[in-house]
Amino acid sequence: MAEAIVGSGLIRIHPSPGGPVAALRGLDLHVEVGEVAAVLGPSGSGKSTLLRLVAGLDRPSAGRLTVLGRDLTDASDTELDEHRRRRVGVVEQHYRRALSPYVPAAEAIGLPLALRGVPETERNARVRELLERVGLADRAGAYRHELSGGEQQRIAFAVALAPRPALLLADEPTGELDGATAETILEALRDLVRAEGTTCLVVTHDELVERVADRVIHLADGRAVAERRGRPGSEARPVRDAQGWLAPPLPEPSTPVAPAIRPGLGADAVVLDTVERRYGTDAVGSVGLPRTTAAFRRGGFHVVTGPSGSGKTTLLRLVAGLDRPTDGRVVTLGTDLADLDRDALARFRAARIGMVDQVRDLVPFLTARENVELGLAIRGFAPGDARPRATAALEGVGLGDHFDRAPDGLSAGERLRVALARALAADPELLILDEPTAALDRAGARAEARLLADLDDRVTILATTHDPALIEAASDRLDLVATIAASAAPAG
Amino acid sequence: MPGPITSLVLARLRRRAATAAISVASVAAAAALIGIVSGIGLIAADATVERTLVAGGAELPVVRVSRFSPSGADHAEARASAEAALDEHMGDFTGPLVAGLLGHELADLEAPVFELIVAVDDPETWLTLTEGRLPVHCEDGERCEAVLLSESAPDVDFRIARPAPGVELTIVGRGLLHPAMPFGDLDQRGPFGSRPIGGGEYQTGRSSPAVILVNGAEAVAKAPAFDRTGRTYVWTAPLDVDRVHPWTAGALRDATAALARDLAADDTAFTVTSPMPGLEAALARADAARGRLLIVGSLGVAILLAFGVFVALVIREDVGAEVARLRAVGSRRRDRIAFLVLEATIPAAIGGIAGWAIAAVVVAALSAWSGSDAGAILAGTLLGPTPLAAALLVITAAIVATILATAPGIPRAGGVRIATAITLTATIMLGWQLATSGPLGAPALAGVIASPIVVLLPPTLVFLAALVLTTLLPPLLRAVTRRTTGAPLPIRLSLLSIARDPGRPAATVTLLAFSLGAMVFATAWSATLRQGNEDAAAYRSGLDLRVTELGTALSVAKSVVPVSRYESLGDDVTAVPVFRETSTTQPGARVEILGIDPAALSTLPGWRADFSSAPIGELADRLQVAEPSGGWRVTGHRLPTGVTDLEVRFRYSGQPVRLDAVVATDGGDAAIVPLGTIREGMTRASARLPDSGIGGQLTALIFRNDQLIAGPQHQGDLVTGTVTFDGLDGLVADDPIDLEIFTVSSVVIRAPQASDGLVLPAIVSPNLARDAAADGSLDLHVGGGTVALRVVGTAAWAPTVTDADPRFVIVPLDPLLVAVASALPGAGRPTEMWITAPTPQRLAEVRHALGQAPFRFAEVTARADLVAERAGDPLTQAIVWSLVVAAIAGLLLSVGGLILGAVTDLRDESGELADLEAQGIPPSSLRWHALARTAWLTIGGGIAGLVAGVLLAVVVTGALALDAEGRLPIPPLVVVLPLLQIALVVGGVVVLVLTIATWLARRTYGRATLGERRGGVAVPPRGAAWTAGSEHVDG
Repeated sequence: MAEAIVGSGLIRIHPSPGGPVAALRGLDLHVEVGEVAAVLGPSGSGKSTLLRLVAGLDRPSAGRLTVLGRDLTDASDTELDEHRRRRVGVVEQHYRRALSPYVPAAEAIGLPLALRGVPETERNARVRELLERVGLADRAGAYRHELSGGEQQRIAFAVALAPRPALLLADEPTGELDGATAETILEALRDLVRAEGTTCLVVTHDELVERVADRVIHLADGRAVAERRGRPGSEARPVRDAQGWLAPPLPEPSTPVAPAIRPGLGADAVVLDTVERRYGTDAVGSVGLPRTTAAFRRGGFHVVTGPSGSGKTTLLRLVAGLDRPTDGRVVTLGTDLADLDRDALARFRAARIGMVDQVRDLVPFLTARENVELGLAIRGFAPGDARPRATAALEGVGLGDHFDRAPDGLSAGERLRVALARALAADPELLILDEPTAALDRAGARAEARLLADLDDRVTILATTHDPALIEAASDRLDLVATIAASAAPAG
Repeated sequence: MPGPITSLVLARLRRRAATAAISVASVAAAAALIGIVSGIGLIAADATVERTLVAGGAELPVVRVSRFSPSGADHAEARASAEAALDEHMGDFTGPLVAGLLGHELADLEAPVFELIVAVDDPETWLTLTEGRLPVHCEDGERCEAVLLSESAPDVDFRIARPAPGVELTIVGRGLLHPAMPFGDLDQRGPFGSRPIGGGEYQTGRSSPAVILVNGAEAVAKAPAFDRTGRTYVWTAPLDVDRVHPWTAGALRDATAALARDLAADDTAFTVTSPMPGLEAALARADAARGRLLIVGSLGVAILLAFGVFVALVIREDVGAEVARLRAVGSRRRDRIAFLVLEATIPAAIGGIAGWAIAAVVVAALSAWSGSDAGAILAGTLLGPTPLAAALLVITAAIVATILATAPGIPRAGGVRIATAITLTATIMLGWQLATSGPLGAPALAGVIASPIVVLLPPTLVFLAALVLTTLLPPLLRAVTRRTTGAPLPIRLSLLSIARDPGRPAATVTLLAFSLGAMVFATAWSATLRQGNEDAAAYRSGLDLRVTELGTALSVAKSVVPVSRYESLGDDVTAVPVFRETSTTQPGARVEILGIDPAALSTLPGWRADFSSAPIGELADRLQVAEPSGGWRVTGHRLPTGVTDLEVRFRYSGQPVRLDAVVATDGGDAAIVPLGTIREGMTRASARLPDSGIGGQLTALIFRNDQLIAGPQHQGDLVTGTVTFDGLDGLVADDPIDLEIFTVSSVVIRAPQASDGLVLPAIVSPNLARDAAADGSLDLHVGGGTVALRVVGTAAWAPTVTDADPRFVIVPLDPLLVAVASALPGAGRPTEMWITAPTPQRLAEVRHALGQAPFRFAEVTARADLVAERAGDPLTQAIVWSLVVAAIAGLLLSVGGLILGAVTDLRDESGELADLEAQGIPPSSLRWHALARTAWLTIGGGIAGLVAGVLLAVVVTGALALDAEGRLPIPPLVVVLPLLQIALVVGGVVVLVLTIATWLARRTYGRATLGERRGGVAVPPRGAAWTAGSEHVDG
């Protein structure tokens, strides 16, 4: 069978404030024509970079890449343009970005055809065909904000497939969808690809994609570490690189534990009582967090797992009082958040909760200590009190000799630790972390996991993650898919 | 059917209607500013041309061909040439030709009469009869009816001279010819004045001649009876003012030149006069003023560019996302370029066309209002090929700037570096040019393309101010935020949010530096020019009124003596006598002498503090001179009261000499009474005293060379004699005096005066101070004498001294008058009176009184008139209105930019704000934070605008030597900052913007949680995270 994509020793290095970062570190890859290939891996493993290289949106720093028989390694901008124009359809990671908010669905699908000079009649027929194929024939005139997440993603597929590309590239196509929608989308993707006779490369960390993939390639730290071919469920084999070295093994999958459904217990740090969060109207709505009942005891290191779109971040936001449930009750640190208005919620967080999100908004020109002091100032600490607290907090996360360094001069792990110190310096009772190791390699993630595990005697930690290292270090884990299934199960 | 990219861009504009509308409106405002300023310039130029030609209605602009002939022999030939040439060249600009003849003096030697005869064909159009009837047309030149041209009935025994036998002229009426037709400045005052009152009288003893008008130039020209009389033929054509405009002035210039050339080729005796010199001067002034308007225009261009970049930075991320989508769907590079170009071009084109259309409507309305031809004005400005090309160039530049700032492939830092390099280069070049060329005058500003300084100065200065601010601001903010840990949290966080990503804040500040700077500059420059007009008026009028009078019965020299008459104007009226004379300090060095009471100096509204380094009060103190015991007056021999003849007794031996006596009145007037030639052995000389001199004081006797005849052969003549006067106590002792009169000199006998040996303190111009001796002494030549001065201070300018590079001395009046009278007996009278009254009404009454006795033909320069005249000047109004338009446009763009910035900030900072809320900052504090951020930008932009505007006003005022009327400003302009006005406007902008920002912040940070506010859509995970993303849809 002909090879659609051949990557050999692909290296891609990005500049960054903290120094060059290698997104791909010698990746070898083979995808055959007509296959649906899935590239799986945690955040930061190089999936999106790989997709950009194959799409011709970027060039490798080293190595060789051939796509549909065309060597893209040294292709000019014009050649890459032509590559995308003639052979490739791309579905962006964030469907909100993939679709222009300024044109309705039908026009968005028709635009790639118009750009290729397809006559209007033919174009309209193709648009209608694709809209029917993705089940949205009645949504042709809808703008982006009038479509649900799943609908937007389906329109994004239609846009990418409109010019009948030989290769469809999808970046986290289910990344922002709930599980049920994700499954539907993946099936739609498979059907579309089959119907169009297109080769498809999907990069994701959503294991659901395995169900539709002919080939699954596991990435870690910028390399392919394992590969499965054939039917879903078959074993993934470690791969060897071009020099014959065996890639590091895949981490053992952790076992989800049963959700701790203990509503109403005073010793719980967080209680979610039949909580549900829906967005939008019924017609154009989506589910942020399906009905969930759970409790997290005080003092533990709890992780919340689940595929993208399963509601992990929504759960954290509900727990922190940054959002309110559509139904149900959220009790955080013994306080029913429904009783607090927005100002009171903010004061509640300032007094009792520390938060670290994925972006970790550190002020670039302040030193590590000044950043922590600023966090304390935000929480109402006087400057005189903030200095010793900041010093202690930084020492507590192992940054005792980094007080005066600015975030730009720190590694990703060190920046995470500054953010942790900033959150911990005020001695919160609950520490909420959103994908804390998303930008770290496996070694870094393991180090941070150990640090967090050591903290759980001081503070209750609630973190969302896909990272096996964190999951392994956690004292318990709430898997939202399992929770939802349990919640949905008939009583008795 | 538009292509896919065009459709996409149009769809984007439709969906971002509010943002797009602000962009379009801003481009339109800037384009309208440029267009309106362009139109106003030509309208003002047209009004200036009309004003120059009409000259207030008193004069009729004409083209006149004249030719002197000693007789009538060549009349027909001259007439044919003149009329043909006028018809050929001036036909497009002039009305019907009027032929005239100006006959020269008709002297009747039998009587002391003197007439001019003038003849005009069909004079009824130009003649205004006050008595009698029109003369009938003279056919034969022998018996003609005539009209006496005279303002009033003759005050003398008038009869017509008989120039030649066979001519009979009969006066049938009295009247006046139009002052311009056909002879121009024909003296029609007379006949009056049977007795000479001094120099300048006509040979026949009349002050003004009788002028007799005959109907029929041809007859007089051909009449043999007049053949002995020299004459000037005149062909005069009135200019049709409606046909003369700035855009036709070139053709008129060419036609006039061709007329003169053709006639000169025919006969060099022809002379052509036309209003062209005055018109050229007016056009040059208008050109300079239009060149100056380029400053406003270039400021509009700079605002346009800045706004383009600002909007580009606002939409940069959104455009970047769209380009990324286009790349993803397989667009070609040219598609994406087309997208970027159209994204920038469509709003710019719509705004540009709308702005140009607005400008066209405004300019057409202004043209109609001012009486100009709107079509021609529009064709010469907004719709002309050059302005259209310039406008297209400007819009294109704005589009290119927007594209460069928007294009995702071009890093912002690179753009900033390029802008910095360009700005610094332009600054250095302009600085060098300004330093080497000095202030630009009218010539440099005139022409199609004015000095690059004018065009580049505003954008360069404002860019420089913005550059300095945006360079200094981030490190300054960082330093501030690190050192203000105790500051209220919203303040500190808002500073942090600006400091951490200063890109768009810098763009906002830069935009405000341009737009608010334009408003401040326009306000300040307008105030500066208006104040310049006030200053110039006050400078020229001394006090409220500056009065000069004709000579007295004793002397033809202009003077305001006796000054005591001015007391009749009222106790509440202050009248300050002033002596003005032009003199020299050394051969060839002209000096204007200003004698004034030092105490009055500090009351002069025309004296500005910047004229002298020392305060005027201090300088005035230095001018004070101790008064002598008898006061400052010229002493001499008192003449007996009632004696009408002056008799001087003496003993004389020597060559004949002429003796004059100087008789002064107590009122300060003086007369020279000729006592005739005295010869050896004579013992007395006498003459009749003028009436005013009776009872006066004999202040000097002057011996002159009686044989003085001009010519080189008489150089070196010496006349000697000895004289002993008798009975002239108070003037001269009875001792013999030896006389030696060398050629043109004279010997003056006078009494010792208080000013003898006195060195007068003087404030002098710096150039004169440099001529003074090391001890500050300076000799001033007055008449034949010398007045010794001592420099006690310098001043750059002195009121009423209107030279561009003035050389003057200011000395105390009373001692100066005595010193001048001592040096030049008979001289030393106050020449002007500067008057002020407490109210405008009293001032009007004073002006009325000055037209009546005892004041003599007072000529009044009124400060209020000068101000009104200058304020009404079209070029003044053009620059003032242009600046008003610039100020309004600047203000609108400031408000638009700030609101756009506030909206965009709330959108783009939402991630940061959400993070702060997650960390525990309540929404109420976040509202303050958002408000504080807008406030910082507003304040920062306000400061940038103020700095840029003031800097621009200072530099432009210094760089352009042009007042509101387009003339060299005397005294120089001083920058005026109407701080209250500016503060009110800027304060209004700040309040408006903060009110809107408060409303926006309240809307964003109200009761609903962040998640609830975003309930309409699923919230993406962080990264695009808890932000709304960079895309937005209005409404």
